[in-house]
Amino acid sequence: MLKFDVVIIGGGITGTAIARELSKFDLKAALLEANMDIASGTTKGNGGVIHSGYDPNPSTMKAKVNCKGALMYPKLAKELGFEYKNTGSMVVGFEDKDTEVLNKLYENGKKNGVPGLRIIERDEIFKIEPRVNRAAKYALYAPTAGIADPFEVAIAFAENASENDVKIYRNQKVVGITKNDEFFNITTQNREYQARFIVNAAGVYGDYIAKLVGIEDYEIKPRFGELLVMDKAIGFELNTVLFPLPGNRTKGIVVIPTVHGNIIVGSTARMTEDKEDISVTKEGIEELLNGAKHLVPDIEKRFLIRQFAGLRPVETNTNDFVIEASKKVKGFINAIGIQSPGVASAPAIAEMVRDILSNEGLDLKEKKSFNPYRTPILDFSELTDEEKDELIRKKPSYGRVICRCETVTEGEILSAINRPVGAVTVDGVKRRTRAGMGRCQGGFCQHRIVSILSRELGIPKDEVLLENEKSKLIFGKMKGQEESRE
Amino acid sequence: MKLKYDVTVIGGGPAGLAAAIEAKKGDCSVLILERNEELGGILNQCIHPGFGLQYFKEELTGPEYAERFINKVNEMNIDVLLNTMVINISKDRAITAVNDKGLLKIESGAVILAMGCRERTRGAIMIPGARPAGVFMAGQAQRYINMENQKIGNKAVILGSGDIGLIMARRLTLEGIEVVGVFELMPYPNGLLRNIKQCLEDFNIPLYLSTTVTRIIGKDRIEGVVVSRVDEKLNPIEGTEERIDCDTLLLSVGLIPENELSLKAGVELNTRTNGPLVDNDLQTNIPGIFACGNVLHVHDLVDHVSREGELAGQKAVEFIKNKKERGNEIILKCGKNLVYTVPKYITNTIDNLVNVYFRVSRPMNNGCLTIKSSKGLIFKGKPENFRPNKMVKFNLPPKIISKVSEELYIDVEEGI
Repeated sequence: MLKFDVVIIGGGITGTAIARELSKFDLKAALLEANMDIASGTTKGNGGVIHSGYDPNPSTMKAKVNCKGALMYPKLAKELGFEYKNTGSMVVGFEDKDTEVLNKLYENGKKNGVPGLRIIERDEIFKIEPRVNRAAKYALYAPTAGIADPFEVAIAFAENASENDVKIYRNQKVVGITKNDEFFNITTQNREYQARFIVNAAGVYGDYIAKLVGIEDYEIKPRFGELLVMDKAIGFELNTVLFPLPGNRTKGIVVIPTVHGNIIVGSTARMTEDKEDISVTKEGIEELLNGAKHLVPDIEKRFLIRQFAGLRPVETNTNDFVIEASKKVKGFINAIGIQSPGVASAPAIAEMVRDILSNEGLDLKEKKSFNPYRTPILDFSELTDEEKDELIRKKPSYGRVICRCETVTEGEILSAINRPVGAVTVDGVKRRTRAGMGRCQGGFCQHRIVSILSRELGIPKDEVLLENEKSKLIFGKMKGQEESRE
Repeated sequence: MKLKYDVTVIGGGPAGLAAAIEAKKGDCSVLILERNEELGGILNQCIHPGFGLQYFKEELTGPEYAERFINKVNEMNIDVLLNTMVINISKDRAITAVNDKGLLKIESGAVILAMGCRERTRGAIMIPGARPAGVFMAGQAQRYINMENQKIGNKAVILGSGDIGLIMARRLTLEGIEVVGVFELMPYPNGLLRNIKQCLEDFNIPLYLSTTVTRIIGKDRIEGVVVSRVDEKLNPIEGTEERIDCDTLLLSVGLIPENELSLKAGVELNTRTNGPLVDNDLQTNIPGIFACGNVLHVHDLVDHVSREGELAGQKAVEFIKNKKERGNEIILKCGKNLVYTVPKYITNTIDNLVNVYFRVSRPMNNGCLTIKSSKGLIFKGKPENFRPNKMVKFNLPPKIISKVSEELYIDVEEGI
């Protein structure tokens, strides 16, 4: 039996942000992730916008954490070494009557405390972003918005938490929770954990986890959304995040620069029942392309490299974040329904959960040894020629380029595997290093990554997984028993 | 480390090998940079026969074909750096490369681009559905099976009738992996006719034309696909959906010249093919940078690749002597039935025949090659059958070139 003060269930951006926050204190904490890797649910399936916070209704929980969380990003990015860009964002209006909606958002944003919001007109719009449709007339400009790869942020949180002694356990599906006067007993498919407090950050399964302790008050349904990734070869980068006027319950089709120079278009929005299905549809792809071209006419279909989808956990009773201690079950804290703007909000949610835990009786004593800094995986392609040469001479593995599209070396892949909460799957390597994320989509490098994972993890190649537990890539040797070539 | 060569060839596949040999014959110092651990490029995984019928007048496997050129490279003492990845080329032909010894800077009198092509991906053709393991590009699967000795599945569907897909249909069958069928979006097959016969018909593997995969099913490993018939506009026809169980999907849906490196040097590309725009010396817009093989345009036969590589090698040698830049006295323009021509530009100060390669965009029976200048028709070929899956080569004689000064319109037309 593994005993902890706090067990966090769910290793998405919410759970990992909480884990990192708790790692600042003298307590025993663990995080359980159901999948083979952290950041592989909702966190990997979204556009990566750090929303500034003008959107949520001021009375909501979203409003309480969104703006605050967004403003925490610049410092976090420095401490944790993840890529973050303060791009700002624009909601673009094309007609005079659109100013009405823009003004409403502006007023809303002011109430939420979003700094620097302004309504701007043509000249300034095109100065900030020359690629916007020339028919644009007005925009709400939010200078504090930004972009990050949400999975990179979550991985950074988890690694730093782990280095500060929070235990991160993956492939741990919670199947049962019981409680006596003092402790929760948490059962996974093959282990048991004991905890005084549970933080439920289980994404689309947040209601399922709550039900395991007898809380029936929540219903989480996924809002399915598709996204597109464009090749960098499209030949231009965007300076800022572009929104159309918002739809009824969503923010519409948004055009988003990424920290690595790609463009993401997303997302569609459709409520579903299935908590696993992330199949993209033809209609969705068309809707996205049309929406993107409306904002940025230069976006062309032929530069598409990938389509993907994500599920946002929507708490159907409130359509709001639920961040609260259960009144029914003492010691059980929910951080569920974290749909958009979850990425922006995560750092503030973590602080809020910390305070709730403290109120519920968790003793928070600052840990002297806490190290807020994480050394990221070195990005070989960003080094100068002299630095590259010097590095290779010290570590020859950095001279072996594995992923040619994104120039990712063996050295980077080894670092991704052999670090705290390291990569154990092909997609895990991809999310940490970008290997396989480029235009050939792993066509040239996947077999080499399989070989490296097999060697480093000490498992046969046919046990190397793409992503999920049963996502085998290869079925053993074609012929013979001899070890195949690297 | 700093190096200096007359000619640097990027890529040690069939195009690069042939180019390097010719450049060396021209008494130049020559370096081949190869990213893999051996020369030969994609031929190494093409263990089937059918190579060399034109070039060597005998039938060889891919590795055998490559070996003949590799032996020559070795005999001629051409310098080769293996496991070496070029990460940049500048306009003035300075190459930056890395290998596990360090970073290399190579100054070059001429550079020959011979990096080959990559396979079109699932993302590029936007197949809807889930994202499980078990979706491979055909060449990627070929690598797993022929080079890595790894089994990729038990029951496969192949989308696209490109040559690699056809070759892999046979390969999988021979290895005891069931191939349910090959599905082709277009109303005609994409690969060579001989491969349709030898890889599908001889093994009773069905080919379904005007049919495509409209959905991928399976959360972890692929469990099946939905295929649908398509109409003349290539849109899936509702009601024709059929589910096929499989644990593997291979994609053979096109090859794309890989020119990201060329772009760094400022090389202009044809936006339809992604290959550089070259003149009849295979020179790009950047003086002294030449292109050949599949990085220039995707070939059906390696024999043509070798010939093109040789030309690039010879012309690189000439460039070192005369510094002549890309000629553009005549621009070849494609008519509506052509996808592209290589070359795009022609220098009219020539004494030899100019070989022009092109592909048609749709099948045509009894089509005639036509060449027009601004003054009208100047050449009409005999009626023949044209297919998009067959690259066409014709000779542009000097007497035609001498008649025009600016533009030539090349097309294949029916009923003229």
